[in-house]
This record gives sequence, structure tokens and C-alpha cells, in this order.
Amino acid sequence: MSKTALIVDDSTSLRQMVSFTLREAGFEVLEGANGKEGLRQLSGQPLQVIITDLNMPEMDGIAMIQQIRTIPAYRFTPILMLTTESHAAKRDEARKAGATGWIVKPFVPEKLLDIVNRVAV
Amino acid sequence: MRTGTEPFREAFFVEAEERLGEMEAALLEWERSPGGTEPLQAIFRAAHSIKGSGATFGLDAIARFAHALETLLDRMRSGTLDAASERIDLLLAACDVLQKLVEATRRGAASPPGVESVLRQINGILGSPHEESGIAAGGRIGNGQSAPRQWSVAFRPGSEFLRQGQNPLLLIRELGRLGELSEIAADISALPSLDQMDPENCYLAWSLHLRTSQRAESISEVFEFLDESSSVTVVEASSGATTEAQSRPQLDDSTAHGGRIKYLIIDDDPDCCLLVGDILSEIGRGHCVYNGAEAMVALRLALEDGEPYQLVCLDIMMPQKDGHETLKAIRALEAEHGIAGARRCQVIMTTSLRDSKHCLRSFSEGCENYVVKPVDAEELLAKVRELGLLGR
Repeated sequence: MSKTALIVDDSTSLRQMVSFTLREAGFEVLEGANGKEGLRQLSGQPLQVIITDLNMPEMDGIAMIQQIRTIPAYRFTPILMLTTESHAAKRDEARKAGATGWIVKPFVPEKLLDIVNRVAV
Repeated sequence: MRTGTEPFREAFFVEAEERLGEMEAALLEWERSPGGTEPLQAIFRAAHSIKGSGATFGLDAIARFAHALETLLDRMRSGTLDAASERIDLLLAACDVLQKLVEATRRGAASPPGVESVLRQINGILGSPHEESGIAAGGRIGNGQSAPRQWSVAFRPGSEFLRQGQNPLLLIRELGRLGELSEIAADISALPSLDQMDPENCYLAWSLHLRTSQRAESISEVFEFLDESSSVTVVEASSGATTEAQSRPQLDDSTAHGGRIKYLIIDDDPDCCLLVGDILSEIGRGHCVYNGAEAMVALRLALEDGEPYQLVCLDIMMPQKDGHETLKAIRALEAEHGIAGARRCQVIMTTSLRDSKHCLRSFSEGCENYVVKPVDAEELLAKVRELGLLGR
């Protein structure tokens, strides 16, 4: 069965790196450069995991997570936030919006896959 | 370690050059108006961004240099280090060297001259060679290996667990990667009746044994994303030593008697303990403790001694760990020891709280019966009889 991930980050290099890592691990990957683009990728298709940055132009990660959780198809989809801040407050805010967990930047691809495996079937 | 990031380094270099351009502009701004905080913030953000991406792409020399610079800037902007304008020369030199370092790395050339000397100057100001813990985010496997030990793990996710996109099977699968799993059991005692069930709530808890050479922290890390309403206990199974410090409480043996059932009375009011102890002394022997924390130690020790309590009389309104929390902890402790169903202790809430809210909540948390204070001897003994304890 094919696995699909959505990665949303305004840094092209980070997005490409995460995409590459996930493709190597057998995922099909959708990409968005901000929250709005991320939402536009969602059409009700099954997704195994969503990975998103928090600070982005247009629509930030927290607003996007809130929107995603209102879509029935994605109510239980694991959402991981990419964050450089280890601030508990920011994490709590994202968690309240519906995030599942977090990946603290910088990370190595192996660490990313460890965390994805923890939440994605 | 294969990083698989090479194809995307070019994008990193383009971004790094943009960040360095921003850094240079902010430096010139700061030179024009020293004392301004915004340029300092901008320089910091640029260094921080380059460090983060550099480390992610495995460009250690860049990450190391940017990390030292970032640390210096962080101390300057937070005021723990003097943001004197004399530092402008060093910052300009650092920006210049970092640009050259990025270029050299892009071409695959050796580190340009100046990197080490600027790094030495920065570290000199920082007081010591700055440790680089902020850079490496290495994998967990391989850290803290030692002889395999047997751990008893129990976790009860909060009710929001499923709505947060989490999946208990994946946590168990990840624990399985750390070592060998056995005795995996689900605790369904908190499941409400169908008409009261919210199918999106998590009512289940799990316990299992894990044999691994990883440290307790590696086991706890698996549960990193569980929120505050969840509980996780990781206990070394052989020794019974928990990750939480605990001491043996002074058990009040004044109510101990020879008899058929072993009971524990948990109440912060000594008079109530005496009264209930007096009633129960007719049918068994037991102990009194005056708070939930002591109760948990007494219950754990009894389990480990192979003589668990069969009956617990539990007050609700107690300081710190109240009756509800204690009840949940008792059920988690039993789950952790693989005790389920009829082998669990029978818990009677003995409380002055007579409202249905506390009563229903206690039943949903796993109590067997509920007695309202003042405790009547006949009523309490009748409830104990209903539970089938006297017939055992």
C-alpha cells in the first residue's frame, strides 16, 4: 500500500531534504511552502503523516493545523511540527491546535524517520 | 551514516548566501547605530538559521562556526555579554569568514584561512571552547548501551490521545525496536458503558515488559508526545526500583489483626482511619496510610512481597494526590504488574462526597463500590460481602 506524506515548509532546501528522506523510506510526498499551499494539497486523499514548519508567511503552521483538524478525512492524521524553538509554550499552542508531536531542528534524516515511524502507520 | 542530503545542498547554499546577505546588511545597520537591538536580532536569526540547516545537511564545519557565532550573539542580545560596539570588527570578520567557509564548502575546497582564528576569538569571549551539544541530533541507538535489563512499562494515555493523531500500536512497535517485548496487556477497566462512550476518546491503558540494554530515558522518549493528562511508569522489573525516588512509609500497624482479608485504609483523617479499621478488623488485617503517595508505596511493596491488599478503602478529598488520582495510580500499578480482572484489589470509596459526579467518576476510574461518610459498620461490611471478599 502506498504511503503519502505532506511536508509544509517555507525553506526550499529543508522541504526538499525532508521530501527526499521520506521518498527514500517509501512515501509519496506532497509539498507546500506555507499553510495555504499545504491546505490546497488536501483533497480528502489518505495521508499517513503531515510535517509542517510553524513560522511561515501567508498562513503559519498553527493556523493550518487548526484548519486541517476540521476536515473529517484528517481528524486523526498524525501532524508533526518542525520547530527550532524548544519553547514549551509554542509546542503547547500547536498541540492545542491538534498537532501530534514535534521534530526539533536541526535533525538528521534518521531522527526524522524515527519520529515519523512513532506516529505514522 | 548515509545522510542522503547531497542533492539538496545546492538549495542550502543559495539560502545560506541570502541569510549571509541579510547578516551583512544588519551588521552595517548596527555599525551605523550601535545600541539598536533589531539589527542584533537579525544577525542572530541569520546565524541561527545557517546553523540549523547546516547541521541538518551534515555540513559540520559551517554548523560549528555558525553555532559559536549564534551563541555569542545570543549572549549579546540577552545582555549577559556586553554588546559593545568594539565587537563590530569581530562580527564583521566572522560574517566574512562564514561567507568564505560557505563558498569553500560549496566548491568542496578546504576550510579557508581565518576560520580557526575567528573561532578562537569568539570562544575566548565566551570563556571556554563552546560545547556543541546544540548541533548533533544523533540517533538514539547506540547511546548508553549496557547489559540488558528487564523493564516493566505501563502507560495510560489521556482521553485526547486519539484526537491528537496518536496510535498506541505504534508506541508499542517503537518499544519493540528497543528490545524484546513480553506480557503485553490492555487494561479495559476504564471503558464506560456503550451509551456513555465517546468513540473518539481513549479509555484504554497498556502494560508490558521490555528487555533492553537501552537506558530508561530511551524508553521514556518513546512517550515524548503524550500530554500531561497521560501517565507513564517505567520500572525496572527485577529490582522494583522506579525512576521516581520513593521511600518506605511508616505503616501504622495498630490496626493489624489476624484475619482473612488484607486491607489498606487511605484517609487523611486519622479518626476515619481508626473507625474504618475498627470495622474491618472483624474480617481481616490491614494498615492505614494518610495520603495517596504513601498508599502507592505500601501497595507496591505488598505486590512485590507477593501479599497484595485485597481491599482498599479510599477517601477522595485528600491533599496533593486525591482519591481519584490515587485510584487511577492503583489501577496503573496493577496493570504494570500484569494484574487484571478479578485479581485486582477491590476498592471502596469512603468519602463525604455524596454527589453523583464524584461517584460516577470513581466508578469510571475503576472503583468497585462507594460508601458515604459517616461510615456505617453494617453498610460497609455488607458492601465488602457484595464484593465476594468474605467468601474467598
